[in-house]
Amino acid sequence: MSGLMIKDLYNIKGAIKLYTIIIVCLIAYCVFTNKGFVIPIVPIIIGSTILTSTFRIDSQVKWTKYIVQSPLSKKDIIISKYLLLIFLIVISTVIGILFSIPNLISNRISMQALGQLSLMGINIALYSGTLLTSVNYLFGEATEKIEIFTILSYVVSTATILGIYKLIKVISDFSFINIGASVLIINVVICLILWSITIKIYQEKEISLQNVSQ
Amino acid sequence: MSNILEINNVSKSYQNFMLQNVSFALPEGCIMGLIGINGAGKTTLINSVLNLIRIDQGDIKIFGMEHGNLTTDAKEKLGVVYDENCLPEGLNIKEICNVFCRIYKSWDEKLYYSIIEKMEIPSSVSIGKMSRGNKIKVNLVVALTHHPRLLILDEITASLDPIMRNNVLAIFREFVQDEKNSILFSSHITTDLENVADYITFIDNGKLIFSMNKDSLLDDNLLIRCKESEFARLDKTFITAYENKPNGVIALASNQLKQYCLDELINFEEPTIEEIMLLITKGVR
Repeated sequence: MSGLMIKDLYNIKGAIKLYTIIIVCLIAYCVFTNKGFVIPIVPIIIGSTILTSTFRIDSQVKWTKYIVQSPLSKKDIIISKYLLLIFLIVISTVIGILFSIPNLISNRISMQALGQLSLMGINIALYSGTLLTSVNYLFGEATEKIEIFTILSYVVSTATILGIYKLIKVISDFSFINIGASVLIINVVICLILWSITIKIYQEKEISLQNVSQ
Repeated sequence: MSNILEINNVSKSYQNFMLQNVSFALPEGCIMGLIGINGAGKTTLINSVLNLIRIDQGDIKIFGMEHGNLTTDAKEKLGVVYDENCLPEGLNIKEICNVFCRIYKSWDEKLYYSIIEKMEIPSSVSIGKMSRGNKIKVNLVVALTHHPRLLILDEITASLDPIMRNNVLAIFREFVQDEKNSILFSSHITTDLENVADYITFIDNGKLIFSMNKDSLLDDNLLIRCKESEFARLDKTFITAYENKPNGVIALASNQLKQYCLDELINFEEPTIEEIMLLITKGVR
């Protein structure tokens, strides 16, 4: 499976420059509009969307129909994407925290707020990345649909995660950081269920073969 | 000699196409050419063998195992090249090696670089910047580098120039020399198959027309070129297919008519695979 991870990392190295520019521009925008408190979230959300690039690249060369002939299983293919998602979230969280250090030093953001916002970003990124992976493998692996899948996944997951935050806030007297941790636990459980359902269905599914001749 | 690939009564239907009861076997140490016009069902058959599509009926065995239940070790011994590049286009030769050495236990890095050099593939550029021919060559190198026992190739020579096609065909001959390895090779370029194939399997409109030893196919058939009056006198039980032309009739016949043709001074010659394919596909059977 490490081969698949390395392949994706090689694939995204070309996209890293673009994503770095987007993140820097958004952070600059937050700084200049006095919205510095959202800086920890920006790299996590943007960073996790790099996963979309890997789906697009795979789909362009019909990688899946090729790699299923190797000793790797369909399960390995999906798990490698989830591991890549986790890797991207971890790296982007670290970047978000590093970009927030000036705000921490100048007391414009507290350590607690940084933790809360990072947790919220992680929750949205984890859920949307999982949703995107499931939708991509279960509904087609088609290049032309991947952008729509990405937008839908992020909209649905942001709404869901914020909804769960609100719900927990209403039904409990947890502090915001505890709500974030609770949502993370619920989210991990939901993601694990989604992962196993996706793997199970995908193993039985025919590989998407677009435009093949007879 | 045991069979490395066995296809028994395989059927697959789509809305406007049907692969019907196809059966044949590929023995160890042989190259089998899979021929047929566009839309005949070659790719459907290859996709069925590779379990990319689910067959409606029949069974397919690779290395004696059900094709849908190949073990990891069995998959190590299977090499596949499609008619298009399937490798990530942003990766270069070294990066491809770094990826696949982690996927195949039997990956042979030394062999990889030696074939890359032998095929004169530029190693500094990414796959995406290579010509279509070079892209297919890299796919073939990857398939050969993990020491497969069965190579399944879907129309790969069409993208190669004549010199490179010859080099590739030489690699195929070398590959089957130990009499354990086999190749299933679909191609439109029937001259390639005349050079390397031991068996020819012909599919037309989803049906298997024949699967037989190439030498027998060429030796057992005659291509007769004659006038209509001469054709009328031929024993039709020996005629496989024929086509009326402005200047006479071209017929594919059993070589049992050879003596008759010699006696009656009727022109005949040994057919090429392409002539057999075209007459059976387009002629009257």
